[in-house]
Amino acid sequence: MIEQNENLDLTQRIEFAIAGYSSIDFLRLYRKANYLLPGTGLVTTIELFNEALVRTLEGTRKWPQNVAFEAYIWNAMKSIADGYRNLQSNKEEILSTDLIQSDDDQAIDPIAELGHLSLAVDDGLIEQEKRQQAEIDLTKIENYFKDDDEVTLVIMAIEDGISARDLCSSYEMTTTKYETARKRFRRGIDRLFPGRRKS
Amino acid sequence: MNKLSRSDPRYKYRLLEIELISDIDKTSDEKLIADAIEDGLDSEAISQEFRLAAMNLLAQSRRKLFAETKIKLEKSKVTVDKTPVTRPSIEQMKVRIQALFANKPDLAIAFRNGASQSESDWVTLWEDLVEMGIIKRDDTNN
Repeated sequence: MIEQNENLDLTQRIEFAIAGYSSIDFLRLYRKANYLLPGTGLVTTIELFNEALVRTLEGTRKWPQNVAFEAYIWNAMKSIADGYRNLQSNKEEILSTDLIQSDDDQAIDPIAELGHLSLAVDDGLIEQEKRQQAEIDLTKIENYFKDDDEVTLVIMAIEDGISARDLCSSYEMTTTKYETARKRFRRGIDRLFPGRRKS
Repeated sequence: MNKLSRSDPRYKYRLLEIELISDIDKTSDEKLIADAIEDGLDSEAISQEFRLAAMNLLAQSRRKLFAETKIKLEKSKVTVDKTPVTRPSIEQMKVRIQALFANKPDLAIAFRNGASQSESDWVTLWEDLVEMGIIKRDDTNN
């Protein structure tokens, strides 16, 4: 990477950083960013990259002088993907009109519910939609590997927090078989979510 | 991942995502290129796509900044033009300028004697003296 000059303006800093990126750097960013797409509704990594750059140029995201572009843009893309999946809380306040209507002798204290994000009607609908989107993509992944027992085991182990060693000893899987299954898993996801539109 | 229950598909996918990204971080450049070739991906074309996207956005941003600056400049220009010019009457100008020349003879050298000038000459001289800061712009006092 090329060293940054503190006297450059933002557009020059970005231009400078992009010029210092090799095709391997971009390929690595592209591959990693592909894994951020499921559940976001986005189809291409370029959409995510563009969004991160637009927010930076508009000043809604700040790129600190002492942070390398590589780290900054990656974190910005991750954070934006989280936003698309509704994983970041944007609204801290709920109006009284957002509260669920119920009887006066209710067991739940309405005041205690203030600040509970799921009570806002719009937020609830968005949340439901984002959850469904993630469900669709997760089902797509599970279906893709449904005939591959070893990859299914790898997925299950990751989801359940089981270590590779424990998985191998419990299912009499060799390390090589585990590594190969894990590679098949990654390569399968690469094909399932190519990160580019078909030309 | 706070707020999400373990049954939330986003929670499950996040766990997979962390592992997948970690695998790419551990993958060598050579292996990354080999995998791309296997998938029929052209790493140069991908790189170009990113570069082009960035350059387009930078150009857009610069055009926007240029347009905004231009508007700002035009607005400030209009404001200056709209500022009403306040001057004393021609007779007052003559008296003030002649008094000024009497006090500062070196200033009079720059002016043609001051004897038979047209009204516009007096106004121009007044404006020159205002520009030089010798007379205040809004000075209409006798």
